[in-house]
Amino acid sequence: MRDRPGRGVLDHFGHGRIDMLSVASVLLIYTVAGAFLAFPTRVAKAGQTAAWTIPIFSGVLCILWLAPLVYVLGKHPGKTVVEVTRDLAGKTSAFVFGLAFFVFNTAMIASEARQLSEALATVVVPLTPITFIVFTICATGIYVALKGTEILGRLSIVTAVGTTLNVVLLSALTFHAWRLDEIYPLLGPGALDLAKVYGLNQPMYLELLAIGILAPYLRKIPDIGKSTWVAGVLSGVILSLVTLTCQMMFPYPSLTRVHLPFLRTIRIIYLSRFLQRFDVFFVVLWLSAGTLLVTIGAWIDAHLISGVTGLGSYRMGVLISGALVLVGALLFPSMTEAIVVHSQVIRPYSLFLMYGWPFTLLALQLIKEKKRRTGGGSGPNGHPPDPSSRIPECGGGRKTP
Amino acid sequence: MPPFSFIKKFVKPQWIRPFSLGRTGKPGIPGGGEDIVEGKHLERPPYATPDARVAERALWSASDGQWGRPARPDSKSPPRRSPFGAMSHEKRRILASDISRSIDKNLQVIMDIFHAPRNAGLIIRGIEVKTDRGAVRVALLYMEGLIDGDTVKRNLIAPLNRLNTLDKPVRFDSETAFQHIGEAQVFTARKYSQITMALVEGECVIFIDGEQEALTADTRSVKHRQVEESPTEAVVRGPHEGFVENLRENIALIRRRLATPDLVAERHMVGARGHTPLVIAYLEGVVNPKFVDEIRRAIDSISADLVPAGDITTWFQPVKWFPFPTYISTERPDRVAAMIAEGHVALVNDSPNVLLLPATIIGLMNSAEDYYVHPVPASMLRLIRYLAFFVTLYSSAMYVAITTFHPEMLPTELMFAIASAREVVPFPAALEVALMEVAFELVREAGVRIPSVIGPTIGIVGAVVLGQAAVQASIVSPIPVVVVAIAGLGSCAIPNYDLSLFARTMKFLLILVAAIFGIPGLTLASLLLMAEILSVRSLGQPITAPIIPFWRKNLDNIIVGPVSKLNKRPGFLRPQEVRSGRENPPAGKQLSRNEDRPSAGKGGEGHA
Repeated sequence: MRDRPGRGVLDHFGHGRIDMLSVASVLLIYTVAGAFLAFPTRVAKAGQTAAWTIPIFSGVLCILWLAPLVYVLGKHPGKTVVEVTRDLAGKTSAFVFGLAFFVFNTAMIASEARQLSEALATVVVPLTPITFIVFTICATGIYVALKGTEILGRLSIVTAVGTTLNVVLLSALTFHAWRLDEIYPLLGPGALDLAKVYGLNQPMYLELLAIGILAPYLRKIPDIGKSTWVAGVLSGVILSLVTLTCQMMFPYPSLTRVHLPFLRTIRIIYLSRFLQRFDVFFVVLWLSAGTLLVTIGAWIDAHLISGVTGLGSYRMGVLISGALVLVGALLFPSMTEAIVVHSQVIRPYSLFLMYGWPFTLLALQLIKEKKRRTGGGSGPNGHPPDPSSRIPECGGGRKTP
Repeated sequence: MPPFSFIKKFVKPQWIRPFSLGRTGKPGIPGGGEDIVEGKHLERPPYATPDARVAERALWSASDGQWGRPARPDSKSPPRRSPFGAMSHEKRRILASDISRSIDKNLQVIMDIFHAPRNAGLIIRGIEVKTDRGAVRVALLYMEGLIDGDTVKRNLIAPLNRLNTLDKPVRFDSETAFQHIGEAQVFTARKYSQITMALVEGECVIFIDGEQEALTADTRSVKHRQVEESPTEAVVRGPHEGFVENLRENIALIRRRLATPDLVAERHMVGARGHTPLVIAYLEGVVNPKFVDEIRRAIDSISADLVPAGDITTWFQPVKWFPFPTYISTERPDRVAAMIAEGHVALVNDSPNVLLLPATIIGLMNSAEDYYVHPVPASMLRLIRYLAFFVTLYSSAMYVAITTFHPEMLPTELMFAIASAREVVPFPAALEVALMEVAFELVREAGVRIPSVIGPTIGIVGAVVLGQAAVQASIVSPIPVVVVAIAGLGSCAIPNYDLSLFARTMKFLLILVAAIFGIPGLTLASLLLMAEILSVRSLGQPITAPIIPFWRKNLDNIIVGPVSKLNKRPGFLRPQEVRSGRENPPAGKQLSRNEDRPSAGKGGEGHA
């Protein structure tokens, strides 16, 4: 394992390192926890009968835009994406990008916490006020976040395994009732429109940017890429499975082709009763994943606050972030507004971060490396470059490892 | 060069741990305080294990025919706090000083230390012995009730009296006294502190007038019950032996099952005033040395005056308020031997409960019987035990949550049945269940406290009568009685008592949460509970290892692995030797001869 040069998050947060499985689980939970909310409806609206293909193809594209970030993080072991930005582009750029990520992250978590609470209040505990539900979820999330990175990772493993098995089981149990003709026409809105949808639905993987904060905690540097790919692919499969199951079981835009809506309603009632008995497991895992979403969000925010402001207190960052999520979640007048803001403001505008940040960092890193090779600029850690590196007899001219 | 210095080569320093006097003993700071006797080792090893004494004795007997004068080997072990607790400077000075040549002065000092004659426990017996230099006064000192009278009479008094009957007087001093005394374990002592320790430990001290050395003879009388089956860990198949209230017997039970010279038993004394013996047992060359160091540090940090044998457990519970056990307590020698062979450390004392560290959730859920039956039924039984844990924790809380918040989750017929049964009950479901749970715990607690003859009867009759009467009186409906009974059965199926207690305690919290917030509350509480359990460590190892963090090379996790495949020690323990059996021939051969070994055919790795 390469040693981390300079001062990084581990120094002032004092947390231990975690393995690849933990990081992949954190990323997976962070990405898929919101999949059981308005996600299937939104995707189905965009992709129609081909909606289930969107998460998979978007996932492939997501891996492409994450590759530069993984490359740059690998070149700066032990540093978060904010610290890397500060090294490569200066304090102002780090502040701008860090603040943007913080705003998007907090807003996203707040809206998802509100959606989760509304869904719980509607389906499971109708007499309980929303404020109480949001408060308990945020309080639990903050408490777990305060336990530290290792516990977060381990808890994510448990929840990720449970959630994945639950999704697979729920899909398998309903498979006998799937209307497979719902996937025709295969290309949904058409090939060209579908290609556009794949590109535009990239923000569903905004959460994977969290690898930029998780990277310094990994035990082995090469695992940055591995955990990102694993989380990306698994997220794609789970989101596709959720979309496909919903598409096969419930009426979506493709339902307009159905001529006997009454019979469809009976089917829904029958299946709802089935799910009603089964949903005890579903609610438990879903709520666990949702609470962990708040936890991970608070954890990331604490690091972003530290990166942007230089505040070296993890606990303080978590508490500030938790308070912001609580206030943000209660700001939405209703679930509808939360969904609208989430899907039409936060996600689309996050494209700026997703495409802008990694590729900017990649460009700056390549420029820096080129300068180093040609002898210009400063050497590693701010020292002047070794003159012997330019003398062929001394091994100069080759790429430094 | 002092005589017998070659013993250093054969006697390991850790066998004999020196202690230094007069340490102030700051609580919680190992090694804190100030040495009065700096760097000076004491002749009598007060913390020497019986094995070490026997080893020394054997070496002396082979040393040019010269008996007696056990030379104390140098030891590099760290100094310990004073075993006498806080004391005045004057008393500390006296204890640290050498004994006098005058027997009268020595007796006076010892009487002062023991507050005699007010303290009636100290017995002094004087004998005059005819020697080549005339009549010599000899005094035998011991504490009443701590020594074996017959042993003292047969091995000490009778031989001394026999000297008076000899035609030709012989030489008798501290150098040659060993030849006349019949007791096997005799040491010399030069300081009052050593003599005091020997007396309170039940040894007999012999002062010889004109000698600046006293002799201490091990004449302890230890009465304990016979080795019999453990009442809490009974098995259908496998050995039926359990530990007893005697340290030596307990160590012997382990040694019989793990017959290897690498089994080290380090003796320590805990408690500033009441000295409780405690042995750290481990397999040298296998155990992770950091575990042993950590346990030594923990023992050194114990600052209480008195640590009863049963209380040792509480000192190894790092998170005080969260009751999840961080040690495995067992009464079975076969299990202890197997886990020591795996790389665990055992803490043995005068109690039938031996602690195993580090603990894992797998170890807490294991039963000794798992390795005496086929792996498939053993795995099924182990899964049922995991289920029992969750049933104990959640069954009552789930009933409260579903009946109070989510009746729609039940099948319609069951929902109506519950509703009609609850129609006559005036209390909410949460109170109903809480009442039954408290009643159940009362019956269980009463069953433990009352005499064993009627205990089981009270348990069964109490449960049946209370349940039926409560239903007939419309205090509770029949379904909570069933639910609480199932939860009670579940707690009995958990093989570890501490884990069972944890589940029984947390159950009440979950009932409360379920009554407030239904299944969402239970979910959030479970998340918090899980976060706490995941953060529990035992000797620095996560308690949930090897599941989380996952250690894929350990087959024997949730299910019982086939014995032939269990040829590696648990890697997460970081043992010095990962593989067992063929790569470790001496230990393996010795183990394979032991027929009672819990996992025959697995070489050095035993699982239980």
